[in-house]
Amino acid sequence: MDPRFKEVLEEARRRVDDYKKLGVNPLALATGCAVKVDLERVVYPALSRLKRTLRGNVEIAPREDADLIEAPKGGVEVVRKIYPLENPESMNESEVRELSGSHVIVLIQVHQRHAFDEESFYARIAPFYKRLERSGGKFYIGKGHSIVTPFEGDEFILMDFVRVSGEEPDGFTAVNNDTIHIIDPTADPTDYRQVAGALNNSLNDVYVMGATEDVTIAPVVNAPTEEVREMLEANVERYSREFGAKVLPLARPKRGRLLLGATVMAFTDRTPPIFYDRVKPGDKVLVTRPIGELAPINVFLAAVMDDRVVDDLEEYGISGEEVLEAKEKAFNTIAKSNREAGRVIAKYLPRYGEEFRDGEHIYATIDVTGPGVYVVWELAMNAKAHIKLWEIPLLYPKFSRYATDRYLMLNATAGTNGAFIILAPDSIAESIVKDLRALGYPASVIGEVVDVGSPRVEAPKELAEYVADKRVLEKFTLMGS
Amino acid sequence: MAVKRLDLRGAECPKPLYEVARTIRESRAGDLIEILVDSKECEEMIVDMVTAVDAGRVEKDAKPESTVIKIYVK
Repeated sequence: MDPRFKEVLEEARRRVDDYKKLGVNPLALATGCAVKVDLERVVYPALSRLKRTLRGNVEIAPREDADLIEAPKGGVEVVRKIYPLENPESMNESEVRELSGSHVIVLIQVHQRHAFDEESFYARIAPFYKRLERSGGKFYIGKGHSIVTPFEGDEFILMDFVRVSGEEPDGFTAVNNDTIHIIDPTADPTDYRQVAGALNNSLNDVYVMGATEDVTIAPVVNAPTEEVREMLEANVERYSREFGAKVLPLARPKRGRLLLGATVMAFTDRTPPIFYDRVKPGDKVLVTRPIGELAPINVFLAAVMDDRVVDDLEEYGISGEEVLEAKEKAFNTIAKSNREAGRVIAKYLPRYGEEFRDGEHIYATIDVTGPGVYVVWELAMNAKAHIKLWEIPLLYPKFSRYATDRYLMLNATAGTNGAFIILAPDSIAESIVKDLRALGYPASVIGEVVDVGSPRVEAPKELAEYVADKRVLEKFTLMGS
Repeated sequence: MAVKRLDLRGAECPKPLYEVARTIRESRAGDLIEILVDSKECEEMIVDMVTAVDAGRVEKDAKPESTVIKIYVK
């Protein structure tokens, strides 16, 4: 084994043991071991049941990556309430009623016992939604995010009530909540890139909507010790200084071992790109950079866990040096903000109140996170478009291929704080690419819309080398196979 | 046909998942993999992974203290 690789792996194993002493299994957290409650099998069915039972004063939005609120610039405020999940009575209905008219951003941390079964999950969260309803106030649940904890006492529901001032709107405020536990468990949790990556990841969903101004962060940060928590908070402050963002001094959950993330908001004086019904044949599919940054991180973590992976990597033709280099680059990519790419998107959107003009404006955008290339299928569904992908642009194809072949990842095109996919008319596609490249994003046109009417995505057959999950692959027509 | 048994009780996620993945890769059609796990989280993830990669038919026998997962590799 490469001596430097061996040394780094040993150091990483020591660090993993240190985390474990703090009550955290960082390998589980970083590799996504049920970190999020399963959306398709648990969250959506539970929300669907809630929608059927709630009266009209509490509305749950359809699934969106960010809540888009028409508002004047700087005209929103956030009130945060955090309740222990085991105690619905802690939600004071008259107090909540005073927040009537709010959009609500919800973060739920549920014990794993309730995370795999819709019935159990529903039973855990429903009392809070019922109390919202009984308060008599009017609420719009704009965005939710549900995560799993292995610790019984760490369950909570956090509600950020976003209120809009009475002034005339002059744009949109996009709001999102996202959290992660850790990006690289072999780096110190106080490494600035861990917090930067977590905040970028949450902001990515608002930037992709072209909302990049007046950035506001309401952190959700927690740590096993007060000392680490303070250092994480300091990193949030550093991040906010770097991006000129405002940090809201709201309560933190103080439940849970390690949690990095935030409710974030940003403003745009444009209309966000949700013009799916305008898509037509000949339109282009762009990507701001190649995807799949999680592949080398997962491969590295597998090597940390098991020396047999190290030998196997060598046999496969991936050296320890390559692993270390790719893992470090991927970590840096995740820590790099996509705000400038969001500004390019905004440039090609209609000003607030103006009409959408075909040939001048972007139709739709999406960021490439956990589902990886699957998001192209989501775009195709929303636009009812037949999309043909000419290529699958990957940052580390060798790592993605290895991770797929060894079933280390079900989808090795996945990312965190991922690239943006943009659906734009042919007439501006090259111009968008040029603008992105001028800012250092290695953007390219990767496909086009062949037809509209029903969703379909054609992709090169090598996609099967990067995605092991047959449920994802079956959404694609693989060309040349 | 080979029968492979994995006792993964007490192992922390994601190690059990990786062990099962490795065993599936090293198996042939007709093999039976019997896995013993005591974590609901691991159980869910293993079943999800086997379903996702379409590795074979899955049977579960859940008991209060542990679960036996059988994979009939195809």
